[in-house]
Amino acid sequence: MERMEQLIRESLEARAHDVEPTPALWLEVDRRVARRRRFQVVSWSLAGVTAVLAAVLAVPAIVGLFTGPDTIEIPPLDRTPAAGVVSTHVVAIDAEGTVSLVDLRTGETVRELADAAGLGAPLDVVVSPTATAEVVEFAAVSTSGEVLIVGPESEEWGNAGEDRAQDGFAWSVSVSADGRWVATTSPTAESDGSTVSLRPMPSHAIGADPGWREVGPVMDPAHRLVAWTGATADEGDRSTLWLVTGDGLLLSQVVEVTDGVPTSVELGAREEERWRVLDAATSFVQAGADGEASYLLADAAAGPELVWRSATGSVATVDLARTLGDVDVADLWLDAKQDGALVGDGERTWLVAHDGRGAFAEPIALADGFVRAAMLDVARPGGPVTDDPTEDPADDPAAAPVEPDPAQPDGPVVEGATLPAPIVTVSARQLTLHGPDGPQVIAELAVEGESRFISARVRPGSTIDDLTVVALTTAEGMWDLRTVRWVGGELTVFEPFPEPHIPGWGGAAGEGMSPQGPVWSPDGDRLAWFEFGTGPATMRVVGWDDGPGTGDPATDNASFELDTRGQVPLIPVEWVATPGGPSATELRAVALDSNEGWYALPVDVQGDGAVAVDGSGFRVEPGDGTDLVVGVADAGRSEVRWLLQLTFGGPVLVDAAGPQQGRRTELPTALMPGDGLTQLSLRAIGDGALVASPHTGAGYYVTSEGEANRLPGEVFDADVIR
Amino acid sequence: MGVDVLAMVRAGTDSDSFAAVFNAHHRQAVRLAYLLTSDPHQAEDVVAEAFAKVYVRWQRGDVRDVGAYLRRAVANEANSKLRRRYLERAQAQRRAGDDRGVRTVDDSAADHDQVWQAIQRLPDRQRKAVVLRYYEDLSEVETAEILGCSVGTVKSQVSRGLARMQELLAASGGVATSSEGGGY
Repeated sequence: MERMEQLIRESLEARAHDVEPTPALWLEVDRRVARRRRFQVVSWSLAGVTAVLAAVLAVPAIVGLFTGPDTIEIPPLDRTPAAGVVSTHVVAIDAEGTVSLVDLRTGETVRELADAAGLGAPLDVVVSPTATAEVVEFAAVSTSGEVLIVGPESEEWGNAGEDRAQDGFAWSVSVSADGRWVATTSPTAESDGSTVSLRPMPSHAIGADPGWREVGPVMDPAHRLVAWTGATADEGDRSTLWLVTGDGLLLSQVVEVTDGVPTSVELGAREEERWRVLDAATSFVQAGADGEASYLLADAAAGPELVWRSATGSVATVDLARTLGDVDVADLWLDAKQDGALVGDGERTWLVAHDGRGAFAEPIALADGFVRAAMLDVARPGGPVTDDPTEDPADDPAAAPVEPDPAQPDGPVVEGATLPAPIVTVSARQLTLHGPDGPQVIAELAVEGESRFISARVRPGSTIDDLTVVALTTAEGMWDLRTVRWVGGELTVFEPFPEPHIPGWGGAAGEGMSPQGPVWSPDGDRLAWFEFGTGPATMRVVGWDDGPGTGDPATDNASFELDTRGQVPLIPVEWVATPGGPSATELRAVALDSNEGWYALPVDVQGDGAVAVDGSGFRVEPGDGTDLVVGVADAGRSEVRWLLQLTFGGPVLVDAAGPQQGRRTELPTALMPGDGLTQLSLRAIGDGALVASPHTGAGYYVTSEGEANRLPGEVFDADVIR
Repeated sequence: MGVDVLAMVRAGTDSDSFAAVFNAHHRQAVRLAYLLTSDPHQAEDVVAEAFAKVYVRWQRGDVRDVGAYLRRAVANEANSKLRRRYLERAQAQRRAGDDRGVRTVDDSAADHDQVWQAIQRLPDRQRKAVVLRYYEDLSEVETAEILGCSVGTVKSQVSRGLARMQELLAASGGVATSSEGGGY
């Protein structure tokens, strides 16, 4: 054998030198690295942006609909389907092979479930329908062919094919609807095809033979398991394994419990020739029952689409081509439970939810880095049930409008609502004025590069005819503040701040500086923002004299070290006058920490116009619970009128000092970021509030009565002209 | 949020040093990928993806041994390619009735090296174990770590691989492989 080993070494060494890296390799690496870096930046600031609302901007009906010079009417609003029952948790695998339980409401990892780094790239993961966030049970297969099965207090490596297969491995997996069995497809011992093997899931393995056993006929090795419906608990129970062929056809394989083990009795006829199926999933009325709704990821002529079918025959399709972009359909995967589906391409993952009747919301991008994910079931016995056929009309949900359900926090969307004042919004590349003449794009960032608007603040005293806005933009990790002047309906200035007024100037915040803000002083004579980097947290204040800087050393440009006391970076949200006299102001900030309340930083304006910050900032606790405050707004008054909180169930707008004081309005889940970063924008407008998400691009005008009206187009941030 | 942003911004300034990492390791990575996939074009694709994944951890400072981490990433990426090729081969079989529909092995390299031909005919798992053991000179423990399996599995895969190669080479009649034998 030593001779053989020597021959192998010599051969491998010789063959290795047959190849030389091409010069294009580094370019390709650089391109892929740049893409990952871009995703990171985007996922911080803009992830989850839904781009499709731009078309609404073009709706001409807005012209002439306003009822007064300072009141505009929102054009026909984009209906946001009230979310049905969508799981709050997913099991996600990142590129490093770490399997985690992720809370979709916050995007945060609840806990790590397993380290599957040794498994290679994940091919499939499925969560047991009986799993809960507290007790997660799932199975996954990967390119290594290994099967990872995790149950209560167990993590085991199984392999359905190692001893029987010489040329292949398990590559698809499914768990029975009652959570009792896990099945994989793997090559047969004779390598003449593949077959289904199964074994009990860990929570049902006590007293059972935990080994794998083949149960099915020899099949084409390209067949993949995608779902398993029906019961497997009792002798004679029949259930159905669903498989997708390499040609995109859906097959059913009926298995019957015989001597305690599900055994194949027939391989069903081909179905679903209407679509070329890439992947499929089934949701359940309750664990152990047949699927009542199914999802197909189909390769349609116009690109990938998601197909939803209810038990009563209703069908709705969603075109995913624009969302997914240029992808290899072979990389696409699907997982779905109840009214939510996850779709991914191996690098990115989207949540596509509907209202329970097939009216889909825009896909929401989850954080970059998840290469595979599966939803937890929320229709456990005793849990909410959505796919109740008795509630589902037979008509086509795609054709029938969804009636708003006042009980749902995501609805209703009131059409014809009016804005009490003109506003400015930013989307990824556009800064838009929503005035009496309807939406007008004021400024656009160049398409080249990765430039994005992050925020925009209107200078106090501006009007729609003489408007000054400062916008924060980013491109490839660099940050700019830009002056936007809009006078008489024309853009007169759209320029980055010059030195020394640019973010990061002076280097006080250290390397890797990123700014938060800006905010205007109440009189509009100065602008402030926070800078965070490797150095101390810094507050920058720049005087304004028809532009950044005054030329007066007292007011031109100042930096103050912020005492954040170990807190996560503060986000300045407004700068208001306080009752302590004309020089007394207060800069308010929020922090994405776990503390209730917001932060107040007294800022004193000296006689020469210079600002003084004495460092006596303090935290203000509203005392109405422990929810995280991510926004405060007061419409120019010193008293906080609105609080924006993140609760377990999603964002909540609290009337802190208005006529409905204490009322809590649950806001649409479209504002909920899927990437774990919970920064939202809140501004007071009239007697209501503007709320926007830089993560999902959803913006709402919420009236004093608590009605949420979706603003047209993408809205990452909004501010009021007053 | 600040921490994330810091990492991102740092990432925007470190391309030069990552280029140094690339220069130090890319050639060996491409060769390993080629031995695992038999396809020089796929090898570059595998290595590009592996470097991109290494980068994510490297820029966070999580990678102490880039070479080892890269080796693992290459093995995993090669796995992915091999699986897809398996499916392509299966589809080609359905189309053409045999496996001539897809020919992914580099012909020029295969035709003059019977040992290499035999290596390529090994099942994927055996082949990976053999390449990592005899080309990368990894221990069984290191090989097991990369393949994500037990040391026992590595031993059995290598053992089966060697036995299978002896059969293949004996059948071809071109190479004497026992210790007592001569050479080619």
